[in-house]
Amino acid sequence: MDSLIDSIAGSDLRYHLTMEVETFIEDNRGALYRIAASYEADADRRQDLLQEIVLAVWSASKKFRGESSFRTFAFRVAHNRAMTFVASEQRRNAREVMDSGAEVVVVDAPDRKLAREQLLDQVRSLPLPLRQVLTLALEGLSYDEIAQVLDITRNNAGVRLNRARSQLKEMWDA
Amino acid sequence: MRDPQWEKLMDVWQDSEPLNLPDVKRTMSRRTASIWLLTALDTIVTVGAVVYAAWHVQQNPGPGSISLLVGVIAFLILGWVITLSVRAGTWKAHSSAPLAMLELNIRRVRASIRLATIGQWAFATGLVIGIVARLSHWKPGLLDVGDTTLLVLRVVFGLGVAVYLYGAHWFKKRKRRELLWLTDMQQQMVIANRLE
Repeated sequence: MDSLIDSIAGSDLRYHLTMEVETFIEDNRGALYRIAASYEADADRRQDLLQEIVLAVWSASKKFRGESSFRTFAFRVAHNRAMTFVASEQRRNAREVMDSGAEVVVVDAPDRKLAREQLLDQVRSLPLPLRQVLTLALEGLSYDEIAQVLDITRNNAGVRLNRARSQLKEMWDA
Repeated sequence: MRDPQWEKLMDVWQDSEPLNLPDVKRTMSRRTASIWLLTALDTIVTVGAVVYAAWHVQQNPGPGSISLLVGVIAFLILGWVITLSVRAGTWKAHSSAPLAMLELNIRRVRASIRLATIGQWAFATGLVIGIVARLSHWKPGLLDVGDTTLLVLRVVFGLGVAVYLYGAHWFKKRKRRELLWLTDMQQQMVIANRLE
């Protein structure tokens, strides 16, 4: 009897989880796109990576135990999937991406699309540990949430973010 | 953390292009279907080859037939291990902590390089045995077939070995590059984790 109840409860939980995943992807598709963009400069491969991320979030959601918010869990999965995607990338490596476009920042540029692309170029030029913290902060995550996503301490998240911001500022001033 | 410049940056950052979610879902469905199709084909080929080899042993009992059966099973096991290790990418532990996931991937990539090397040695050994057998006019009892069929089988085997050896070389080269990137990132993460 217990196992039957467990089974029903389990399927109910799975149903709610599926709904939660769908809602999350729907609500955070912009954020997932930006995570993909912070790793991959090429538009086609960026789209591939985005699909990989969505697929990874779906698959990993079965492992979600509610120990953190689904958002932080999904962001961790997204960053991890992006890392393995870039690692298996054949045609060029991360260094080449990093060197691709850290020139000028035009946050005040009239063309917001251009400004966004330039910002993305600069974010991609940062070392990975700083880039991850910066992109999460730009999504509005708190220090605690960033620490949860990356499994680091709150202080470490703060130090990394400060470094990332000063490196970004150096790029603007250059 | 909150200052006007930062707010502006967040504003630009979050102003992203709309994503075509139905498109993504369609592609995902296609990919899932193709993965299942490949798995089904693998299973059919595996079962078919084992059944055929077992039937051959029954029809032509002898050391040659048994060698064929053992060879087919060993080959299929190797093929399945490689296939599974490649497809393991679809169920990697992406919910782990980033550093742990990097370490897991490094172990996995090292293992796949070792596996490809073992496969290369196995195929090269098979090729040498085949050539020696041919030169010594040793005709194993397993292939009681016509000369034309035998020639075709030899050509197919030789080509298969050549393709595998080249494929494994390419695969290892690619995996070494991946390993380099992963170890580099691991070092960066370890250093960054010490910042307080």
